[in-house]
Amino acid sequence: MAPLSLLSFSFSFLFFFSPSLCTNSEGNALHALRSRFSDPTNVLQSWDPTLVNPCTWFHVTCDSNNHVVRLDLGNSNISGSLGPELAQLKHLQYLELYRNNIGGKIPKELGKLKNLVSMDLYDNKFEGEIPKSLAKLKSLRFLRLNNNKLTGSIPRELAKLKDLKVFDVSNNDLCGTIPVDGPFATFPMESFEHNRLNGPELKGLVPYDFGC
Amino acid sequence: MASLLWLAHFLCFLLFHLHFQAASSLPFSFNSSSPAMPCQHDQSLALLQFKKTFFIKSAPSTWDSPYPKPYPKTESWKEDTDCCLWEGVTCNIDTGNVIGLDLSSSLLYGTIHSNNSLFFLPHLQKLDLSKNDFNHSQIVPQFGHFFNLTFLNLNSSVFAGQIPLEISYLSGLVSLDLSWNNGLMLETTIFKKLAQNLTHLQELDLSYVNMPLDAPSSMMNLSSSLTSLKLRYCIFQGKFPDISHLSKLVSLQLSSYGGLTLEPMIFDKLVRNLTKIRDFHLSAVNMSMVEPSSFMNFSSSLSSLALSSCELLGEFPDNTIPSSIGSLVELSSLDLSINKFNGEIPSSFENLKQLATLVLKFNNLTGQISSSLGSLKELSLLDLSNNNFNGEIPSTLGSLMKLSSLDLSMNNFSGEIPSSFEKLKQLDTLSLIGNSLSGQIPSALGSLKELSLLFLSSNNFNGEIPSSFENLKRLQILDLQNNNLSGQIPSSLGSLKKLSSLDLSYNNFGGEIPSSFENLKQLDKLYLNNNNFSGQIPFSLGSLKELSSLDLSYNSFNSEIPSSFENLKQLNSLNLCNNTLNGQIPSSLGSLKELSSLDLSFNNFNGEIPSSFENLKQLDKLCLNNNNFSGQIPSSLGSLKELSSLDLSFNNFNGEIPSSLENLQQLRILNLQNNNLGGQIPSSLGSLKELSLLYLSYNNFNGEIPSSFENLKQLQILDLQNNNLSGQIPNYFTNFNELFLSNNRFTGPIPFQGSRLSNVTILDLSNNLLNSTIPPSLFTLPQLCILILKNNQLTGHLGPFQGNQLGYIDLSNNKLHGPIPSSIFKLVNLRVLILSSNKLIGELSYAVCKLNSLEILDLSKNSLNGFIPQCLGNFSSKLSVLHLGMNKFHGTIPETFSVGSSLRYLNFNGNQLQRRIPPSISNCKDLEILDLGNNTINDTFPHFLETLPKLQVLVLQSNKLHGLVKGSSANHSFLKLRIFDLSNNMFSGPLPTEYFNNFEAMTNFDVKMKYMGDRIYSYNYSVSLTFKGLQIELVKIQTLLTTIDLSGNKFTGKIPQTIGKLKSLKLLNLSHNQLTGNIQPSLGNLSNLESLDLSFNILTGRIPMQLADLTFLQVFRVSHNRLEGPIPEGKQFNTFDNTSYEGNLGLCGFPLEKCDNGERQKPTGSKEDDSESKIGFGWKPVLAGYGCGVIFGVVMGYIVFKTRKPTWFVRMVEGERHRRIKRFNN
Repeated sequence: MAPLSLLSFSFSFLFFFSPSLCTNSEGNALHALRSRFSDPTNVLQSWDPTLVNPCTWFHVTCDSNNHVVRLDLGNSNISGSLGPELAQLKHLQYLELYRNNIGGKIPKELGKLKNLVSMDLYDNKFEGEIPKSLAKLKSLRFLRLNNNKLTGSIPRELAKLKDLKVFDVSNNDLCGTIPVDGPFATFPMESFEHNRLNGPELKGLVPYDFGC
Repeated sequence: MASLLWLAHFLCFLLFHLHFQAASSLPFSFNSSSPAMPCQHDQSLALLQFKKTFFIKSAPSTWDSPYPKPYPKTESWKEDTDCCLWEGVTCNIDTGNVIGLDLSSSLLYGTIHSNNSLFFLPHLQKLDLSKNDFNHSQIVPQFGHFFNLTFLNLNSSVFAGQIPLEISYLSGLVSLDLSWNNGLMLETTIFKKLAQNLTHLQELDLSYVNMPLDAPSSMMNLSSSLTSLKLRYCIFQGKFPDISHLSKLVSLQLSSYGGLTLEPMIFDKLVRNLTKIRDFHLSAVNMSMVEPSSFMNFSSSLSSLALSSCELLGEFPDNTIPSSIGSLVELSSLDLSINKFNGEIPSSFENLKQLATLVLKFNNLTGQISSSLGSLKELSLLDLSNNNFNGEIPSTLGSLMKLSSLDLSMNNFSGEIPSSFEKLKQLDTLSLIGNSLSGQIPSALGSLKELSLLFLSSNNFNGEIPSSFENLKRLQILDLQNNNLSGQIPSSLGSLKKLSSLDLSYNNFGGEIPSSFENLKQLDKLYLNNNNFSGQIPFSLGSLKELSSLDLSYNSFNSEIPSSFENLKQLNSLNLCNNTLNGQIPSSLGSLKELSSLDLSFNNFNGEIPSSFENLKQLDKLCLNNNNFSGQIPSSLGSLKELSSLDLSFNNFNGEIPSSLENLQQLRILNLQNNNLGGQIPSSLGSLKELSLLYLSYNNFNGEIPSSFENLKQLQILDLQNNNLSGQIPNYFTNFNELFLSNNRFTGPIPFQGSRLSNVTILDLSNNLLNSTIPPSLFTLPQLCILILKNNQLTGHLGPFQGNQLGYIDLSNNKLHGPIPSSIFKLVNLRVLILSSNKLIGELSYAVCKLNSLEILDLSKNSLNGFIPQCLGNFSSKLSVLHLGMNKFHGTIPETFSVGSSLRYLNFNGNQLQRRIPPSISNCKDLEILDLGNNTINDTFPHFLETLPKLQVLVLQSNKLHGLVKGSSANHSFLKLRIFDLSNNMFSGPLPTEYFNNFEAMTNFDVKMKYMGDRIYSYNYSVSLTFKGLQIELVKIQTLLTTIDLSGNKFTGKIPQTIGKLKSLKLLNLSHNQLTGNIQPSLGNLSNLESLDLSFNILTGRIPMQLADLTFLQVFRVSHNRLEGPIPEGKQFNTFDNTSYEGNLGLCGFPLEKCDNGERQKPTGSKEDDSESKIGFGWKPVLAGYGCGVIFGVVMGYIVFKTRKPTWFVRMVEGERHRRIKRFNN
């Protein structure tokens, strides 16, 4: 066969799929996340799993070591749910998923994001309980879960988060009482409004999940 | 013992009756029904015994042949009846002796041995055993003992072996027919004896008898009494014998496929001497030397002339059909097919008024058909197919009222089918295949009620199938494929009950298959493929029980496979590929035991392969690829031993390859790519000795390549790419054409030493862990065309290249060192050369410019030094990629870019290039990417690039560029630009507002994401950028990426308001300049912005609160300006820390200190913007405030949060809160 025709013939076959080089666990995690999402406005179309790392994807920011530190998908018309794979984003500091239609439970694995500073899940359709594991997020300063469909009580363990500056669970379907220890001493009442909460915790007198 | 006694008795009987023999002198004038001597008892016994020798075969159910339908004549032979009255038996009236036996077509089956009682009928004069099955019997010598025989016919009766000499004893023979017994042989000496002894012979037929090549010489001895000589399908060689002495010959039929040559003189003699001849048929006799003038001398009584495959007049330059044939006015049949005649049909043919058959197919005849052909009113068969006739079909053909078969196929006829054809009422067969006929199919064809075969395929007919076709009640074959026909299939076609083959493929028919098709009970073949049919596959198709081939592929059928298909027990081939069929494969398909080809590929089928498929023992080809099948590959597929092609690719099969596949010893093609198969590749595959194409790529196979693969000697293509295979690449591969092992974990050396892979054309070992040197022999493989070894850890030097035609070399991302060998520049067919990311050193030779077919040259990321050859600018007009970035080149950029350049990607980033940006780059009108960053270019802004109509990426960062960047007033500058990076230069003056106004590509949203690159070679363009604060190499450039980076210059003045129009902008960096004025609120319109860096300027005023609307903003820096006032709140502004803001005059609010005056930048209508700066309102004061009993508090709290209605409690709490806010505000 003449080399010319061979070349033109072979290439469509040879590169029918561009080879997947993705061995980056953070990239895999984000791609797995993408597969859980429905993305009608194509904000995730730049997320190409064949790239070595996800740092050139839009809505993703890396540090100088090519670790993902930010994920910013607020206000993006995304629906679907979150999964345990997010825990692989070990260096993540900002998880901004506010104002979407994401449902399902908040994965307890999010408690492994040791570097997380801000978790903004407000204005979505999350349901189920607030995972206790979030109490392991020692760096967490901002936790906004308002305007979802969360149920159950506010985990007492969250009171251990010394750096927590903002906490908002208003407009959910939470029950029980409100912690009063640690940072909870300073949160305004609006942060708890429009739930089935029974007011402040009265230690030793009624159980914290009173009325749940 | 018993038979001996019987024989003795018979012999006495024979002697006793001897004097009765041969009483009649008139052969063939018997009348067995007249009252006469009854049958002789011994002969009756002999006949009954003869009958018992044979089985009776079952009669065929259908009978289309012109010959009488076979039936068992001997059934009427009963003991105790007069044998002279038996069917096929003729007796002498006076003696009762059996003198004639006609058992032609009697379904006899069995062997005739020499002791057969047939030979006890000594009075036989006529013996006809033709058209039976004597199961390869010898013609025993006893046949030579019928001394009275005048007529012997053993035609088509499965005799074999030598024709015995004894046949030549039958000197009374008048007619001898031994033809059509495949396997009968006649020795030359016996042929000679036959010719000499059978002096009364008038008819001789030895067609299909094997004779020695020299047998023709014996023909010269044939009796001159011969009137008919038939030697068809015999293989003779040498010269055609002179048989001109056979002057009584009326019929001569001879065909030879051994190379018999008829010399001009002999032909001339034959033509002159055979004055009685009426049928003169010679085929496959070389008559190329025969002169055209000889045809003048044919006897005028000639009625049938056939000279087919005779290379007639091949030796003559002007080999037209001799016009003298037109004077043979008695001709009723003329066949000159398969010769080399050219020119037109002689006009003299119009004299052949008796002509009923005219066959001129397979010549090179040209011109238009004369309309005078229409005057040959006797024509019933006209075959002009496979010539080069052109023009329109003459309408006069319509006046050939007796025409029953018309074949004009494979010519260049154009125009429409003449409407006069409606007069051809006798037409049985019409074939117009392969012309350029157009227009609609005339409705009038529907009135040709005798039509049984209609072929109109491969023309340009358009329109619909005429509804009149419903009248073609005799139609058996309708072939309309490959036209431009459209519309729906008329439902009335379903009434053509004799239809056995219907081919409507390759047209534009649409709609659904009419339900009336269920009436086509004779249908054997149905081809509806490559149309626009849609809807369901009708259930009723399952009632077409005679169907053997069904092709519905390449349509838009969207149902499941009807369960009724289980009734198609005759189905041999089923093709449903390329539809949108769905559901599972009905298990009942497994009952179609005749199926040899099943293609369901490119549909939406799901589920598993039914286990019933193990019954498809005839299956040769099974294609289930490109569906959604899942589950494991059933082990039972291993029982389909006829399978030669199995394609399950592009599905979701999982599990392992069943080892039972080793039983598929006929398998040539096995394609399992793109599934979820895993485990090891079974060693048993190595026993598939016929395997030539094996695709296992894109699965999860692990382990090593089985050593048994050494036995796959036929293997031509092995594709194992994208698995997890490990171990070393075996060294036994020899016969491959293409070897794909990329994207695995193969380790160790490249094994191919010597030239064992002498046939390999494509070798792809990329993306493995190979860590040897590249064997030098690899560079000299003679057939190698594509060599891809990228992304390994290969070391050593390159080359030398020698003795091949390499067109594609990609060795990037290895550890190759040393210089680029000069031998590589002799590969004149090289189109792609990628050596990037190695450790190559030395200078780039000017010889590179000899590669004038080069399209991609990528030598980036090496340590090449010296000057860049100036000729690189114009050495190959096809060059589209030139990437020399990240080397150590110095000197200047080539100045020689010429008009007509195909360059699309030019990258010299990261060298030590100096001086100027050559204006000749503006000749590269296709340029999409120009990256000259990180050099030491000392020049002003290259305004001449404005006019490049396709430029999308311009990177000039980190050079010594200076001066103003002032856009032209022209409106068409940089229309397509999406990446604009001038960072870290010394540009001054105002920001290029005019360019901002023209960046059309930055104002639009690309709907679809693509990568920039070369599609044919899948080469991705790359570029280095500062991306969200990081210096990053984009190994692929998304068309969605739009960025402006003007940082690190000396730009002055204000940020133009119009920058807010660049709505698709993702990154904007204006930092480290001397910009003044306010931050434009219009930046809040850049809704895609992910990074905004305005730090290190002299910006004043407040941060516009509109920026809070940028919900994708990830990096925001305004540090080191003179900004003041509150920071916007909410959304992304919740997430930026102090470093974004430091070094300003008076910014306040989160994350900095609270604004002293309590001023907050709160976007209107926003609720969620709780921030740290909010009043610290805790529960403890509230508790203290109401101070009531515990239970009361809990109950009240419950009421508040449960009812969500204002109560006194709420009022109290709210009041408290308001008071506190007030206090803070004061």
